[in-house]
Amino acid sequence: MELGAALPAWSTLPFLGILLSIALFPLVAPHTWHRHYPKVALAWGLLLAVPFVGVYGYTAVHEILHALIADYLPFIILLAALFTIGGGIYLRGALRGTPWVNAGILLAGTLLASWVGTTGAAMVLIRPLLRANAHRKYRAHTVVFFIFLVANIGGALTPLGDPPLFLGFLRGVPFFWTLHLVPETLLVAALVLAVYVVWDHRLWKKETPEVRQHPVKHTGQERLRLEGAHNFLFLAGVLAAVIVSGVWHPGEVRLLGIPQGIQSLAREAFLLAMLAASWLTTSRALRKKNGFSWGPIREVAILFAAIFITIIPALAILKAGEHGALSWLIRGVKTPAEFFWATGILSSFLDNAPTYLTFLSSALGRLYPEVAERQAVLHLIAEHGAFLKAIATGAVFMGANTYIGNAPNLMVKSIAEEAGVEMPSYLGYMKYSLLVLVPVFLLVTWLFF
Amino acid sequence: MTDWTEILLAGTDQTVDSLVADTEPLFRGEDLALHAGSFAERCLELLGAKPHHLLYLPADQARELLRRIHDDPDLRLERLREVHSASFAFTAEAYSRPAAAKIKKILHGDLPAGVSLIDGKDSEEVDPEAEGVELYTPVHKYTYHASGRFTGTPPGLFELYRRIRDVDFVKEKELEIEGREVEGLGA
Repeated sequence: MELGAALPAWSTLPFLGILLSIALFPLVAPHTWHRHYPKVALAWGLLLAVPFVGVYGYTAVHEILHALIADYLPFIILLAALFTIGGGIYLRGALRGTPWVNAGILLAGTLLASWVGTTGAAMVLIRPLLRANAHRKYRAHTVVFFIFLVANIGGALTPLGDPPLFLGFLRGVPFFWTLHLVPETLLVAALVLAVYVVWDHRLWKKETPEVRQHPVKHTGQERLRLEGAHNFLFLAGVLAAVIVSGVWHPGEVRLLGIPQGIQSLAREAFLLAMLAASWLTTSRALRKKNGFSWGPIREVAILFAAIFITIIPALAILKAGEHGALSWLIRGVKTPAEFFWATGILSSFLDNAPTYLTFLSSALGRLYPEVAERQAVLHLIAEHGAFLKAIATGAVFMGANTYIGNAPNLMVKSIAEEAGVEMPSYLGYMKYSLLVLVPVFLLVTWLFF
Repeated sequence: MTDWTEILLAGTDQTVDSLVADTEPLFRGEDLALHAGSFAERCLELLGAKPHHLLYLPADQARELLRRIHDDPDLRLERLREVHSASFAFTAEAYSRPAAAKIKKILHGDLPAGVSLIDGKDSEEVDPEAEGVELYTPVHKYTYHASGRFTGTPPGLFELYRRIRDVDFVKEKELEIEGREVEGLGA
């Protein structure tokens, strides 16, 4: 009997547990979570792994090794490379936080996010944005729109932009397929940016005349300059390596019994080389100005180890389609519009990378239950492309709906608060997303799905 | 007991604006985040019903204003109260020393005349394990907490309330006004 058809629904509980831990602990017990999250992640991981191996033996070991070697390692290496390279680029100089300058920063970040990742783009641009607006009274809305655009929506156009899309790439989605998301991304980004411009113009008028007329006095006159720009070369290297790994197929080797494409191993080696090159050629002082530390990579490495292990039953059950214990989910989510909202709503409250995988597996289980995954993905793109577009955009766009929808959201909030910006509460933030994002997503549903 | 008065009147924004144009000192309800009328009345105001306005001013100026309200057919006096005292509670949580300094300045600086702080406490917390940029486990290296209740009489307490509303990271509760409804003001 196929593993996915045999596993019970409750075997997905550890997966739900780690996702809920990530979502809720930072809100209800941030200091405890900060100290003990590795133990929590380990506990959820073991809660799945021990009985799983106990019952299914070699099959379970093989599944876990496959998840770690084929998904987890490439995922962590890509994120680490993008984060290290992005953290070596620093924008210095005086910017005036006028509505148009702010909109320019948001636009630049939106365009950059697909190439350095949403986390990298947010890290590079949030401090210049905060410096530019340090003299203003009304700042929180600008940071909220920054989260919308730079930390989420902008990441939709390449697999480098947002982790869910890279996971799709690892599962066989061609690198350039994400460019099919240009119309949706363009529409959403343009509308959100337009709302920001109107919003900020209104608040700009409420600033004191001194702030409006003499911004240079407040922000200084230092010329705008990009430091560590050589890191864009390493970024190009990452981009090239990922693209090549998608089209070059020189053969396979076995790692601990798991077949791995030579192109994937070459890609990982090259990305690590780019990471090392960036680390060695960029001054520590520059990284310090970006607030760079290895902390975020350590967090991702620990938490996603647990996610990738605990997600195994959920993905296997979903792939079994109607024969699996989650057939109700397969039956319940049928149209692209339903996939867009189901992926999106879950991505608003849980991490969007595993949510993407869950609904991709659900779509494959529904449409191609007996077909090997990589082939099924290609069939899905060719025959039901709207489903994949709905899942991808739902996961990427709707991570912006809440602070916990996407990892950079909380990072940006935290940096802004330490810079003296009083950010909205969890529910206060959702008022912005309900007012601005949800109507735009409804329009996207009507136009595209 | 103070010599300040609360006037609740109905009238258009323009009529009330012109009524109080030269009145000093004066606090309007919106300065103090106070809204007149019930929730239902406030909803009706959105549909164009005559809005309600709260005004706070010294009794001698209130007497003059009441005469003009009485003479103006577009204005209607709905309630008159002597203001005895007022208070509001607050909490604050800031994550940078400059932001905390602004709050401390209010708490530990000279308070306006007639205002005192009850149950005021503040504390600072430094988490040595916080590491700057963090994605899934963000905590602040520095956190400043404060809470308490300011109590006193106008205009000092009202001025403080208005000032504190502009200070980031302070969450002030609703202003509570103690007073007694009266029919009219003595000569």
